Amino acid sequence: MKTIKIALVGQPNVGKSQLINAISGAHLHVGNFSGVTVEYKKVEFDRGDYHIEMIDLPGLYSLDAYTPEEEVTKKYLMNEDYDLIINVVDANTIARNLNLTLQLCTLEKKMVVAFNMYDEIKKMGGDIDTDRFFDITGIKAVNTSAKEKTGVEKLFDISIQAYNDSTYKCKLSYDERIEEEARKIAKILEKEKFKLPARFIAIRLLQEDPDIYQMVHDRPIFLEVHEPLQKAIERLKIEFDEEDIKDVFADERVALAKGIVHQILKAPKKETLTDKIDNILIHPILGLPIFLFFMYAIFWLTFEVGSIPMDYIDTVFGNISEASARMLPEGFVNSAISEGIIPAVGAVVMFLPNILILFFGINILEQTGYMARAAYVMDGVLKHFGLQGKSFIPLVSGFGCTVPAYMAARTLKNPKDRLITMLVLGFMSCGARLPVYVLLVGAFFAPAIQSDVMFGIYIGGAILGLITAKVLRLTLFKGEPEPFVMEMPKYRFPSLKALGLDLWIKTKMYLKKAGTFIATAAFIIWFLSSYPVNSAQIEQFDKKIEMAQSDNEKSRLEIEKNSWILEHSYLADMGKAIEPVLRPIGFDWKMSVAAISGLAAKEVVVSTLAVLYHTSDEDKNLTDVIKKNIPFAAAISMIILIMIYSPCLAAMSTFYAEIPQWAWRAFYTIYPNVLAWILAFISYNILT
Amino acid sequence: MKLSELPIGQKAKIKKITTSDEGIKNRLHSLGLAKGETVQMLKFTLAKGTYEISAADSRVALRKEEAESIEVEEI
Repeated sequence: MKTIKIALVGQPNVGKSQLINAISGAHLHVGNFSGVTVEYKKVEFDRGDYHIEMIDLPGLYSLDAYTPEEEVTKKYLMNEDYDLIINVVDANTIARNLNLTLQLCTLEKKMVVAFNMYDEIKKMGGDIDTDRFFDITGIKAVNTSAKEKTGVEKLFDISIQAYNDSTYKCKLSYDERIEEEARKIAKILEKEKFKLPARFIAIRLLQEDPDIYQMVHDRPIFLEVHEPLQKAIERLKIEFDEEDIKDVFADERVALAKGIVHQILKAPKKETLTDKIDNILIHPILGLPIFLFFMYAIFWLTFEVGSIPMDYIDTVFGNISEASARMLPEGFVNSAISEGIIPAVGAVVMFLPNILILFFGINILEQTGYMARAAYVMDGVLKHFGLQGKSFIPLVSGFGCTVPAYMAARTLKNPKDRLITMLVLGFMSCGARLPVYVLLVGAFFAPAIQSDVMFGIYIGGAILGLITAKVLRLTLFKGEPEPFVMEMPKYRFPSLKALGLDLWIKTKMYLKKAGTFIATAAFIIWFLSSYPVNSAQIEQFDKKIEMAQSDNEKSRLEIEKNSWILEHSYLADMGKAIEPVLRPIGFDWKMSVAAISGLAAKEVVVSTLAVLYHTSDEDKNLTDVIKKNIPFAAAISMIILIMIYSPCLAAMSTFYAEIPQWAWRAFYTIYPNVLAWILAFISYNILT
Repeated sequence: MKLSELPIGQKAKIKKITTSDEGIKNRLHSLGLAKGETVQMLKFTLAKGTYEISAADSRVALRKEEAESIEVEEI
């Protein structure tokens, strides 16, 4: 059986993913491109005598890559081995899409075209003549509708045909004046062996493509080709009366695409639904409140509905932990698994429903086309803080959980915007910090103003985030405001299958992480808080517990024993070591340990405080104990620290995975803690 | 005149794109905003900070800075 490797290429929003979902009998794999976190999907399936391996590349508007994702696709197309390109074209916007088709043509790989979402133009009385398209371009094409599953099988038929067709040739070419210059350059280039076709390199060089220029620059042939190239570019500029050679090519492509469209397309009636919806959703005055309402709705669902299965998951993990404690032989392994790893993994898995709901909401906004409108509406506000419209979605998600929020920042194409957004995202207090706030606010503020204080903490974090963004923009990310140019796609009904599939993939990846990274981190924290063991001391405690008269006495001794172990653990050593650093903001070693343990997960701060301050009843007594043992000014310090300092390990590792540069990783690891310390220091000194 | 000066509903032909940012120019080109193309102003936000226009066969949102870098001629 022969294997055909296919690259699935198209502009964003052409329905490539839906097309993949419409393939029957396909196996789907999801992975990351090496070195970057751009996700890819690969599908494998058999048709006749052929095994087809198809990779879904991130959407790109043109080979003049602009975003990191586009860069990935461009690199793949130029450097990887594949047999055939399937170019997916949105039937609604053929002219614009053909710009890319023309560029793909120059790669001199076999190619077929799918005019996708054909059903949409068909409904409006439009049609596309694929035979005529073949006559003009030499490229086989088919009208497809991923939604109605039409044309998909035919797409693979013509792909296999094209694969076996030795006479395949793309007939598209630029203006003869451009082709002539390209031929001259290509002739020089042919003296040296390149992986890419000489005409492709020549045409890219004429367009001043920096990647290709760099590639040729490193070769000996560069000396020979450099001068003729500059002269050719000058000649073309004069010939076409343009100051910029890029305009020459852009105009050419637009004209060519228009010519083709004119010959193959029977224009559909104009779609007016999008206009009507836009009149309301991005109304100059109503737009913002409507947007805020949608955000509030997603929020509400995430927390209200998401909290329903939480208790259930908690119970399940509690049972697993108990069962493993019973079944495993007593000792190190038993304790590590049933006391360290399982509860910690459970605490993370508990947030899976929230995360899925949040992503479900975000996916719906994205698939319907509303996300682009939200960015449009918010852009004006966020611009003042050095952010842009698209930053809003990850920032809002940050109130739920920082982990998916970092991932949501992928929708930001510009690396600077994305980095700033991710750097301030931690200031949006996540759900896990709520218990800490509840504890401290409950202990130190009158009931009447508690909810106001809580609200203030959340708003304060958001404002701090915006101010920090502004400062970052003015210092480390200096320069012009990042351009905001974005396509506003047509409104569409979301595909439930695609939504479901996406959530399933998210679930799998999340659980995988919980089982690997979180489990390891939990094990380390558990180990540090339980060791070294002084068996003589423990025996003494055990004896006392055995002799205890009442249950009350027993549980008191149990707590005493645990806190003794903790106080003599490695974690306590670390707390005492770090105490001098945190002393100026009012922390003793116990608060220091709590703060450190909060790096594992913010909920741990509460449980650590509970153990360190000797109490059995977490809910009620702890508030009193905390009130007795921690001065007011130190408690405020603690709130400020929790608001600002590094998020949990899960979030940090997500950031590291998303951002490959070590300098930014280091900055991200240090600056929130420094900022937290300074602000806590100021408040502590004002209050004492 | 500049694209940013068009009133809502007005159609115009693109005369020139003056931005010096190559990346953004490429992006505008690939969204169908090139010389000779017809655009129509659809909407802008209250403060005229962000614009929505239709070009070729797509809708594009862009900021004031980018809208100012596109020279057009009313038709």
